[in-house]
Amino acid sequence: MRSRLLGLVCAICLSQFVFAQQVESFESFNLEEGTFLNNAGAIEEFSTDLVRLPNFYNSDWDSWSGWAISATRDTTTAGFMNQFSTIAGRGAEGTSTYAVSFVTGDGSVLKFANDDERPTQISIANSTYAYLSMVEGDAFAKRFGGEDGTDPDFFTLVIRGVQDGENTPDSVVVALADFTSDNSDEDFILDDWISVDLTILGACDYLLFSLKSSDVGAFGINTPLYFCADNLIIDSQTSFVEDLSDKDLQLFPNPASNLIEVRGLAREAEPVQVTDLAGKILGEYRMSYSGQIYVGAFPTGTYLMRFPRRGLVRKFSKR
Amino acid sequence: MRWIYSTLLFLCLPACCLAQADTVYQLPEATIMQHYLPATEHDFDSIDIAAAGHANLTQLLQTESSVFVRNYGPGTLGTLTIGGGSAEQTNVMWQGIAIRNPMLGQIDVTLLPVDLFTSIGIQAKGGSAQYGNNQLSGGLNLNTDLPIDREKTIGLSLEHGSWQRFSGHLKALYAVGQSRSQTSLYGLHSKNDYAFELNGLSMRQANASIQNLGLYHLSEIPLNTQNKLDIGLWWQDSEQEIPPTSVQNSSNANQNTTSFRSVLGWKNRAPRGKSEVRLGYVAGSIDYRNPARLEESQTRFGSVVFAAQHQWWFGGSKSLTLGVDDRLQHGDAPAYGGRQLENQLEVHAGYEWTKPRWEVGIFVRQGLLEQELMPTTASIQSSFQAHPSARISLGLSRDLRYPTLNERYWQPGGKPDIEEESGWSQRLSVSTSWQWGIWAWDMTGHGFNRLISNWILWSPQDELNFWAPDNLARVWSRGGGVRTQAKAQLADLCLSVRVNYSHTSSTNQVAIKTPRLNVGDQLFYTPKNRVGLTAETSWPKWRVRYEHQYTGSYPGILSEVPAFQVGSLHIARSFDWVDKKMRVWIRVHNLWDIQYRVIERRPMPGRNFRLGLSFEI
Repeated sequence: MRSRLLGLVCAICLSQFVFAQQVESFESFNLEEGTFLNNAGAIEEFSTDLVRLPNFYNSDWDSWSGWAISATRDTTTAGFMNQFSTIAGRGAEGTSTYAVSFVTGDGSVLKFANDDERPTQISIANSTYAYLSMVEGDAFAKRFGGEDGTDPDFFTLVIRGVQDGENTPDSVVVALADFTSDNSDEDFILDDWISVDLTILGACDYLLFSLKSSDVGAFGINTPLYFCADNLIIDSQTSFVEDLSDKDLQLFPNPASNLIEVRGLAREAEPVQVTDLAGKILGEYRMSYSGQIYVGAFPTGTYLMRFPRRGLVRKFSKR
Repeated sequence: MRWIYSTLLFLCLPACCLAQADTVYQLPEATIMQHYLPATEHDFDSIDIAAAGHANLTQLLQTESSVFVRNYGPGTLGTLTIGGGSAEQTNVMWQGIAIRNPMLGQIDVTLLPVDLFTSIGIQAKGGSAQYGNNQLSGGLNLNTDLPIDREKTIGLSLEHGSWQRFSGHLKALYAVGQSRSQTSLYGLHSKNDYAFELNGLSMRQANASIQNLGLYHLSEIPLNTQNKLDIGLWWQDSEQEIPPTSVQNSSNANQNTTSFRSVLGWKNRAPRGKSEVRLGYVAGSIDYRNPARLEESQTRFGSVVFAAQHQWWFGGSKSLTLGVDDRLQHGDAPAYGGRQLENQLEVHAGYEWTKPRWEVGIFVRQGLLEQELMPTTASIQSSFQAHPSARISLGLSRDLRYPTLNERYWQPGGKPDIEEESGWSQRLSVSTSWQWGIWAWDMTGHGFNRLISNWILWSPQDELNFWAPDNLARVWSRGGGVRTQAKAQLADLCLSVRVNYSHTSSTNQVAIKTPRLNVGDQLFYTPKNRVGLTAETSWPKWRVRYEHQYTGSYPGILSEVPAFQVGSLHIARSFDWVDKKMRVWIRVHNLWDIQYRVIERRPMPGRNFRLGLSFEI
């Protein structure tokens, strides 16, 4: 009886922490329209209150890699001379400024100002340089779809979290262009900002962005290795809602046929989302303690159950 | 620009006044500095050159298996590779002076019209000690000699072909006193909007036109029986559009290339030896523009070349040659931060000993690049008459290539201290010839082995968005080939069949991450197997020639390039009209209408035609 009472007291006390949501929109650089920054100087990074963006600049050759900050608007000029623009024309949600990454080596790193942050969302877009190269082709890179439009081309951004030097178990894949479908009507090259859910990555010290393309030769990827990022949302841990460890959350049965039960939820109702692996939301719910979700109408396959307040994602299968 | 046209006018006017009738075919005497022992493996003679019509060197050299031209399409870039080497390792000489662009270390052979020359020789071997450092894998000798049997003539040659192709060549041979001169004005326009198939769809090439305008002048001025001067001037302006790839919607890139080459030579022949001095100036520019991409690049270069040598003959069968070459060259480009100047000084010596059945030559060359002593290059060449109808030749050489100006100074990327490429090569060949009834037959087989270290490759740099050259590779090239020719003369009918086959294995010996090359991988765009066939029949007024080439598959940067074979037909008819000579011809290229590519994503044209007419008064 005594130990049960102690446990209840602890639960009540520890359940008062909350996550504070912060957004990095790069507007603090106050760039004039049409300008960009590709030289961070000797400190070799652009920094804000939330993030640090590595930048390697060679003043002799005006050459750079890593990240640049941009407010350029050119959506029509193809080629390397227009490497700082996004095809979306502006920042995400109409903002002025955004970040551009030229990816080299193992990938571009985006560091958090503090360790152990929980990124939940980021907006991603193609650069004008990469977009027009994929749409029109150039002397080095192919027009996606190839000579007859049927090549199963792709250009994907892979986002990983890194904590204590180790990659987080999950990664997020963003299709910047995808011609792999058998149905050519589904072929696309991303021409606007897309909001990407990063909750699956959980807590991490920094993000690692790498690019993959189907257009590869002996000298590496031919598609220009650029992408644009904006509106990074971070759930900074300032307090704790409840001492519900992740292991308390259980999905049962898994695989499920008709109903799947969610166990170990908080007393207070919290949002739960079911999505497919591409992130498309199939259902949204609010539940407390435990609850059941009808999945009988879903096609057989693997799905994700997301718990946004906790920054947690669980996989389940429908059979 | 005005002085060019003034010069053109000055040179052309006397030609018109002094012209006299002549014949088309000429058998030249090539001018090649340091011309020891048999210089070339194969010479395209005046018959080959006449059959080529107004072709450029890319088209002519495709028939020769020991040379592979990396050709991006008609009117666009063509660079040479000989014996598995790179374009930069191939020396290109005109009238005894090197004419490569010192910034790139190569020359676009598509811009070189074949009919300017009277002989085109291929040296399918290294020859730094003999022919100058930079000839690491092979060489190409372009020469024009004035005919010795004529004094005055004017010749006009016109060609019209597919894709709105028009070309003309006005040539005047004239004499003033003892001196003789030849001046040529030539031009070409071709839209090159050829059709090709893309996965069953018929497409048409765009933005692929080329325009050439050139002036070519040679003079020979005998001073007396022992001394002779020769002068060569060659100016050309080329405007090329750069077509899109097969996976590119469109292109509006274009390039203007100008070149000016000049040479002044002096030859002296004395009872106990001969001397030769050549002074040359080679300059050029390449302006690349792509307005849609806001890209432009302007480069300029110039080289002052001085070469002098004397050969002493002694003992009836021996000779000693001493010489000096100096090349002061500069490149101007925004990427250089202005002008970069470089001096290459070389001294060389050769000792040759000839006996009735054999000859031996030993050659050595020492170069000085700026203030730095380069590795000494040397070679031993020997030839032995093993049988009245068979000769064996053996060569051993150490060769090198200096880094180009771009490899040293182009920023970003260039490395002033990048090492020169160098290597050893060995070559053995056996030649035999037979006469059997009306048939004369000759055959040469050869094998070679070459190892080149510090092979320079450009590659993208980690964490940087530019490319840089490095001494990345060590390349082992080896192979062999057979060249055979049979000729028969039956009354006025002449038949000849020429077949050449080359096998080249050119493999990387160290694993490289970028470009991705494993140990043992065949180099990019280096076919292992090539075959060329030329069959010709002629009787007094007619000449019919069929050319066929097979190129085996080879690795490209993006994928394996499939094997292809292409045939061409040439029919010519000569006429005598009063005392004038006329000739008409038709050439059918890609006779079998094969869809093929030499470079990935660069479709080549299908069957196409050219109709030509030439006459002389």
